Amino acid sequence: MIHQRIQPPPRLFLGAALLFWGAMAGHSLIALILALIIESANWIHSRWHFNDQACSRAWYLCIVLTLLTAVVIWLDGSRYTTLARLLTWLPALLFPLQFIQSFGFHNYLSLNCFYIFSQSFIKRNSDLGINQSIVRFNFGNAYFVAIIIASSLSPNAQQWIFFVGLVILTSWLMLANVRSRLFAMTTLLILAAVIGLSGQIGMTALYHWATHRGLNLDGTGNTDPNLKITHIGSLGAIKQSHEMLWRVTPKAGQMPPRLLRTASYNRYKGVNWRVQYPAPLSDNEESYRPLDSTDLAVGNSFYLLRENMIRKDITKPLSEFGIRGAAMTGDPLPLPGNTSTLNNFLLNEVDLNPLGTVRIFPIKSIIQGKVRWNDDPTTEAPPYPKEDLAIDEYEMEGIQEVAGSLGLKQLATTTEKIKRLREFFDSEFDYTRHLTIGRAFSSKNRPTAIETFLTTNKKGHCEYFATAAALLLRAADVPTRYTVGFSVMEKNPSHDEWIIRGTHAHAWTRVWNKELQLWVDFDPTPGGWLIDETSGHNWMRSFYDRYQRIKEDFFLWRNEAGNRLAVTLVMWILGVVIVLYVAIRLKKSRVVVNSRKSMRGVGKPVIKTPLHDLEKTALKILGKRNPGETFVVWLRKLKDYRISEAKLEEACALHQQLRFDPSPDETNSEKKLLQIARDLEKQIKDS
Amino acid sequence: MRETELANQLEQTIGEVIRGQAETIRKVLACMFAGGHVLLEDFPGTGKTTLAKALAKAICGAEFKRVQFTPDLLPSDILGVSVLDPRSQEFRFHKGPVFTDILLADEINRASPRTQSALLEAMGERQVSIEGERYDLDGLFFVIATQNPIEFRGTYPLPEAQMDRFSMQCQLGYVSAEEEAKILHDQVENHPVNSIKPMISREQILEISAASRKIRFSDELRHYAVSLVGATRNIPEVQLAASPRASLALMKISQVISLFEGREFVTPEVIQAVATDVIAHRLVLAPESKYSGVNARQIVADLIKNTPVPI
Repeated sequence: MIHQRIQPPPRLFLGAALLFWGAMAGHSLIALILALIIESANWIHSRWHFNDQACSRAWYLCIVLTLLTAVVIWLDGSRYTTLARLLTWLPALLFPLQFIQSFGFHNYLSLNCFYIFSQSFIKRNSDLGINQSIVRFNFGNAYFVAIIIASSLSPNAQQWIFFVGLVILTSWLMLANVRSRLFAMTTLLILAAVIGLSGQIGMTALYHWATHRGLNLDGTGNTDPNLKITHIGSLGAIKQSHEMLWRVTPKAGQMPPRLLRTASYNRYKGVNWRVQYPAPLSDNEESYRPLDSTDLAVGNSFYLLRENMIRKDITKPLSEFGIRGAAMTGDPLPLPGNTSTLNNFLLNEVDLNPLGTVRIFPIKSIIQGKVRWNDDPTTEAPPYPKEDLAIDEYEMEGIQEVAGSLGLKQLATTTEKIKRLREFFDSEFDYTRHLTIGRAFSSKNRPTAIETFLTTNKKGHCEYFATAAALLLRAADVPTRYTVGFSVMEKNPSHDEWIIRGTHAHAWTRVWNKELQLWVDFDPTPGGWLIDETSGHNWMRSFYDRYQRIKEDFFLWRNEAGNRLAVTLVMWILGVVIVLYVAIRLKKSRVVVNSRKSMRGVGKPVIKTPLHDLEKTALKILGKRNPGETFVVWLRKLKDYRISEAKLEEACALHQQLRFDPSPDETNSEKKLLQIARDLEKQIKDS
Repeated sequence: MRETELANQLEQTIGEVIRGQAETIRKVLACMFAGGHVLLEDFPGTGKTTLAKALAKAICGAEFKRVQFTPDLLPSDILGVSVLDPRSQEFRFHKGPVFTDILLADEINRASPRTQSALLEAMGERQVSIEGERYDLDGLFFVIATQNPIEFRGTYPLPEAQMDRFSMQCQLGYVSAEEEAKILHDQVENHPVNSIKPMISREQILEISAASRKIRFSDELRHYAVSLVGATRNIPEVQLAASPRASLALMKISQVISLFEGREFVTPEVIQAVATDVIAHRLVLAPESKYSGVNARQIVADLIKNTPVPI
């Protein structure tokens, strides 16, 4: 049994859809080439006898292409978007199948070509005499769906033009296939377009509403330099990834910084930390200051991280370490608080906010470079008198109670205050990753989570310690900020480098030392947490580390100027060889279809009847005639368009007689036919 | 034309017995008038035997014989055998069922290829050679063979040479529910095939046959028929393509069908209408394409669609 769905898409439709994809995905040239190849089937007369085996081969080629592209995209370092980026290439990846469809003799592909076992399954069924069902379909429609999927995942799909293009293409396809009930179909399309549009607007509104409520729908897990959602007040164990995020290689004989800061925050509200500036600087985005790069030598650019730095600072002998890892556009870079310069990074842009957070805009998704640090001054601006001392009113009472009992305010220097706090946390508190202080997300009822932590529970993870310390120091008039980042604690002896994993994420405070006029790190978390975090080595992790190391190193190796040329050259040669091989194979088996649409007058002068003149007029209504469709059968379709049936039949009979009877009897039949043909032409034009 | 009228009357008479199969009846008759043979392939009970019987009854003085093909059937069971006459001490030839006007070879693919091949000479040359003696067959020798399509066990597919001897392979198929109800009604008292009166003589059949050969066939259409058959030779799915015998059959059958339609010349529509039945059964498909669900009828249908036709 054979099931068929072989209505092909209309002429030029796939070409237009491909161009649409090209515009959306930004691959206009490739899309143009593919569209030209596919649509050239309408004018070129070369065809191939593609059978099921050829179809299977094309399918395997598609799979190989997909795998290769996946590897290239994966090597390109995109960690979360590999699948989406792969799907945007779908029209190019499935092109071999569409080529087979466009340039083959059939207007269908068999579904069983797509399964490796299907062929043997059908053979077995055939041997046993079991009736089997075979499904055939025109690949053009599936190809269109692939184009739409690819376009919708493309960068330009956010723009309004995507929706307009989608509506136009869908309408074209549907209206071309449905000749009757045009009005109903148009109404349906308009309705669908309106529903689609309102759905899109609704979803966008919902997204904005949800993200403004503080829900992290981003899903990337990256640090937002303006808002830190903490685990304070939630219950259960904290889960962090063991994935290797950064690798730090200090200069020989030197130690790396103990803490690498990604971002600082200065306002604790609810249970989250955010960035708040004094009045004139209300917009967070505006506060970022782009950094200039200074070139000392070719390919050796320095970014100076402090405003008052001058060129000669670059040459000062300082500690230095290399850092390497994956970063996305706008990610904050983990750096020590007293970083002096960044050099050798391949970046589009670097900017810095007054709290010392450094955002990078990398050219490639995996970056590496050198960081000079251990200078006295820090990247931050001096403290804001109001914001860096603020404590929310519902926290105020509890914090002041504890600060009072410790006598923090009475201590003379900042160093003493820090010392007293450290003793307090070390002697009375325990570090745990299993949280037991439950507070509703936005609850402002007392006792708050921090108060419970300080007075009764006395157990928590680094976010509790850092938040509590920041608030207690603020209560003692010391400007303090909450800082997140990584603790450098895992040394990899075999590579002489330090590994930073997701589990090494840490929170601590930056404290303004009034005496030194400097920001200093104060990590209030008891030292025991280090052991907690590093325990639990297993073979899976070491395997995954190795895999990631190879991936990153290969990526960086590939992007070095010299290697890059070699890799590109090899890829091009490989591509050209494959294309040449396919082209030669195709050239050998090419069949040129008779370019004439009919066999009018073989071996004889062309016989022309008056009915032939009707062809042009009828073409507008009936569409193209198949090469194998006889003229009479094609013309008879006019009956559906209110053309007189009797006249049409008479004309056909006369035409056949004039055309195919080697010795026609009637001499006046040509005259008669001329009369009828004129009549019919008029009727067609009227209809 | 008198011949057209006669042919249509015969078609109508048989059509009253075999309901809802007008097209197939015309094709079977066309084979007979074109001097060919027909292979009916369909499910049991669709009226293959009845069709053959009805045809035999409608022809005045026509002899009808039926051979049920079985695995143990021997060539001599079909052709005949020489037996020693004890009185005259001479071998006397006993004619087999092949010496008849209409031969129904029922379930032909149940006999061994050896027996099937016994029909080769008879069908091709209208003669039988046995032990050096040549026996001519009657001018109206028409074989209607039937085979069941789905039974693969215990059947021997017909040899390619044998297949090529059949002008056409037709399928009867199931009729509509309405027609089937009519069949039931017809057979309440007795089978309508018994009420068929002979209405055409053997000579008249030969006349129609001769008239059909005068139906005009233009040069252009000759080229078209040849290009259709020739196209089967350029397809990778086909291992053994159609022979010139197929082109010849295509021409003859088209002529008869045109005669049925009362036209004195052949049109491309007629050629297209019969091409699948005339060409498809002669093709032997490559194994890999056979297993991927391609069948010969489909290949020919595609060829008709893609071969440029005179307009």
